[in-house]
Amino acid sequence: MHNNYKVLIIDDVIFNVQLLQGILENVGLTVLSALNGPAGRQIAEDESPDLILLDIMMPDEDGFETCRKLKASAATVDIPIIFISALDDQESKIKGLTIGGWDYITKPFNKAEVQARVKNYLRLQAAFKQVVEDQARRLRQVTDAQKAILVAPAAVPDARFGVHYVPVNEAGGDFYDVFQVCDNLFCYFVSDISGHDLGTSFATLALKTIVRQNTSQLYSADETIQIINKILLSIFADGQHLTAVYGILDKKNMTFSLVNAAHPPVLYLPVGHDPVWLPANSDVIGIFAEAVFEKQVINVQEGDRFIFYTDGLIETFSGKHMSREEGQGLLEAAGVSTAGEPCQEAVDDIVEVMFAEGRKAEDDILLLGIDISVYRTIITKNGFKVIMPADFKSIDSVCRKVEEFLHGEGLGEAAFSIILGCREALTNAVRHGSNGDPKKQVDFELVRKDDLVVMKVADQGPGFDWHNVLDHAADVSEESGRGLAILYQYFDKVQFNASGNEVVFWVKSASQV
Amino acid sequence: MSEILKEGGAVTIKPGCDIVASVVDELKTDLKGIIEGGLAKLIIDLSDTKMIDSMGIGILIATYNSLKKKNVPMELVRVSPEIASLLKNMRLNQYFSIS
Repeated sequence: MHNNYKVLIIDDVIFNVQLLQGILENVGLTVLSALNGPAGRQIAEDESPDLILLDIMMPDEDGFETCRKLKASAATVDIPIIFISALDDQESKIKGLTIGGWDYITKPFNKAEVQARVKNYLRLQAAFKQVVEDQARRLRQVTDAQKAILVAPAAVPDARFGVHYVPVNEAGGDFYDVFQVCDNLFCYFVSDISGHDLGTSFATLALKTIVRQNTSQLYSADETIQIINKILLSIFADGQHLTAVYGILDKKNMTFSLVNAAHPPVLYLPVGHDPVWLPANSDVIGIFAEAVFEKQVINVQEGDRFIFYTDGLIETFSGKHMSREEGQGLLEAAGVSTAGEPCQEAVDDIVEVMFAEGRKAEDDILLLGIDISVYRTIITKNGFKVIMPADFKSIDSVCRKVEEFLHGEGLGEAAFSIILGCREALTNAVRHGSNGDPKKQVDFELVRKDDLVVMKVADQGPGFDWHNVLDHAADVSEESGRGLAILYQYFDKVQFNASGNEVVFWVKSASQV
Repeated sequence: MSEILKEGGAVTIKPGCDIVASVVDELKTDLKGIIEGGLAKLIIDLSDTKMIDSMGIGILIATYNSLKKKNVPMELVRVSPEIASLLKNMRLNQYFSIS
């Protein structure tokens, strides 16, 4: 708290200014003064006094007008104003108080009264400022905490999601979470809590804990939401509730269990098929004791995509009203046209489409894209490893990832032969090494060492007699052994392990232009 | 300010405006008064309501919950097609009638 309080006196009568100055300086206050409204307003803007004593009866711009102008300026709106006047009539007092004055001092001045009133209002103003600052600090803490609890895609790479989240104000009601439950289970949660106030923000903080604590392989998706409903029933009050979408991806069984609790429909984009809308199959959460929650189990495949979002994405854009149906139509078209893009890129492009043509957000914007991809990625020092099930559907995804990596490394020109080799080796591992059995595992590793790119592919099959096959693999047009021929043709070095179920191949990046 | 009409045991309340955060407190007071006064049925007339936000949804459900404890049915009437579609998508028609 500062102790050098400044009081600005605006009065056209110099005698009054000097008198008040003396009274106030007597109690240790710094006094500024002006003899008319415009000059006083300028000083108020420049000096930010803690209090203004403002005379009403002044020529040209009277005190009421000066007060209105001070209250209309962002720089001076919060400075308390006490009117000083010879006027003691009720009408003037009410008018002054109505336009933003805090109090009145009437002439002739009583020294003790002026000092007491000014000191009281300075104390009140200081306390008010403190409250505002405290609230702003708390609000910032909540905003920071809200941001901190939102997980970034890089933190859970195997969850394969992209996200766009912009709260409409500091205390947003939208919330999402993505986490890995166990080896093969991934949880995706998007919700919209009623309201946008501080209570909502605290609820989102609690929600993260509640969702994570009650998600496990022991509970099905609907059972988890039922538990969350019971907990929130005891926490929420006054009609507070949430709508949510909760999805559990089981990468082992390739199923996606979905509970849509009174939330806008989920957009499901199955690869190679028409988009599907998955409407609410369950009740609002946190408000009905007898609420019903059901799960829908979808058999998914590599390359499928789900779009979770909140209603701010599809309805009521300022200046350009759009119904939910229209919003869903736009979202579906954007989802389909971006289906081939990497997840985060698609999410960003969809948001751009939704808010094109002058449509502006009025509510929190949350869009979560989820790619169904069964393989597991481990980022290494100079490359990455992928552990994938032995099915043909996974091969495309791995090749795409290799291509992305090579482009990122500035090796785009070398990509063709490396990807060709990668595809051949993975196809052999899936077809011959694992008989296309997705329960078996294929390991892939790519490392860049200076000008060398090294790839390793290993399967869990019995291996093969590579010495013998190599003798017949001289021609890429031959059906049998063609993959090997390609490896030998395009790579500088190829090496099998003894049992023939692991191959490492080297290529000099510069030589593959 | 809501219009409130009592006919026999049934009470009809017409908010006459959008049911959004800014009016929720006032509407809550009106509804609380109606429920405490006792009634056989509550009819909420939404003929002048074009929009309901999440706070508005909250008060409708909270009212339903309070009435349920007293075995009093609740009905929404003159609901615009857009609001009816929203409420049905949220499955609230399973709890109170919407027409």
